[in-house]
Amino acid sequence: METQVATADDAASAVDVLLRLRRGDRAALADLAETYGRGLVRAAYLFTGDAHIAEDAAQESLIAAWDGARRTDEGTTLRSWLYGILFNQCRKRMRSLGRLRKREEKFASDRREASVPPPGVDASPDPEVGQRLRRALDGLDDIHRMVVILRYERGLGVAETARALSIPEGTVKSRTHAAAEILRAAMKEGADESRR
Amino acid sequence: MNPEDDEIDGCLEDALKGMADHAPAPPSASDLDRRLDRRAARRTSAIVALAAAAAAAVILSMQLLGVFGSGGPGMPAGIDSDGTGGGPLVIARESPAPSAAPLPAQALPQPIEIGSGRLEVESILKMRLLDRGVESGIIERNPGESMSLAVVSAREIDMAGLESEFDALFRNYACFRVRILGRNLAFSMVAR
Repeated sequence: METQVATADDAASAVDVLLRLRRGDRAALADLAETYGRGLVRAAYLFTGDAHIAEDAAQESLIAAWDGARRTDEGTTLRSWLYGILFNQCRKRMRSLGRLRKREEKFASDRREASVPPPGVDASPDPEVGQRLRRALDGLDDIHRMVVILRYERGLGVAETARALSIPEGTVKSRTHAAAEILRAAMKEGADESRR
Repeated sequence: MNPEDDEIDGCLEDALKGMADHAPAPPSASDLDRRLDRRAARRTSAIVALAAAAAAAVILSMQLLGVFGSGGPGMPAGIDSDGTGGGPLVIARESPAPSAAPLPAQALPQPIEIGSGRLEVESILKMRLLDRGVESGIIERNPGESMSLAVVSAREIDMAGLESEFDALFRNYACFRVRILGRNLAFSMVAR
């Protein structure tokens, strides 16, 4: 299981998996899915808000890792590399859905708001907070959303997040701070709304 | 939470984790295996289809060469029935292709005489090319006095030998020039 804080054992295991992937060992792909699959699909789900896209993007990321392993080198950190691939896959899929799908989602979302909490939002204990948080997350631009998902949900460090997204560490810090402010404000508004 | 960063808000972290708990199941190793197998099958089919299309194109082009090779009754291959020879001269061997072994070096031919007609020149070239093992080819008349020749043969064609032969054939011509471009041979001639 992928841990939130990488240990020396995790790092050694990741290097081993990457080496085996480079050699074209199919069992390494199974290990990759076992170790990182859950984290990938969770991050994809938070990023896209769509279970189908998340499932597809996670699966395609693992396949892309299988294909691209030969192009990696000793400096490649498996987890950062995988999340970089994942977000590219998510963005590609979201772009290809186009405006029509966005309109459909918006319509569905508006209807759901009037009735039940949307999927992906924890209905307990406070559905209003969950809904506002989801909307706030969707409202962030891609880079803020990616940063906050990797830092908060996946528990990646600043350096690892910077490597995954190919941005400077300073940018990771500033974007994390800004995104967290927006999300905290959304949660607070939701909580206030519930109390009324 | 990552210990390197104290500013991580536990409340927000929990809320995001709660949302992520609704994510679908992660892909299994068997899902990935199936996906890779399907992709491999698709790629194999695509390669087979491409190879079949290429083979069909080669067969079609060979058949087209054969069609152009029969210019008309009693006419040398490639010469139009009106005798003008305005189209390309097509060379095609009618007998089965000889074995793939390279042909032995041949004696250089007699030079073409000045004043020979274009059709005669082409006819001589055709005979020489067939003797060299060229199974089919097209002589294109380019603007001016130059011609180019594309040759097709299952056997290895000695292009350098062909060049020497052409040199000998056109010895009486000035400004004769032959260039070998892959399996194509371009030449030009101007009478002295």
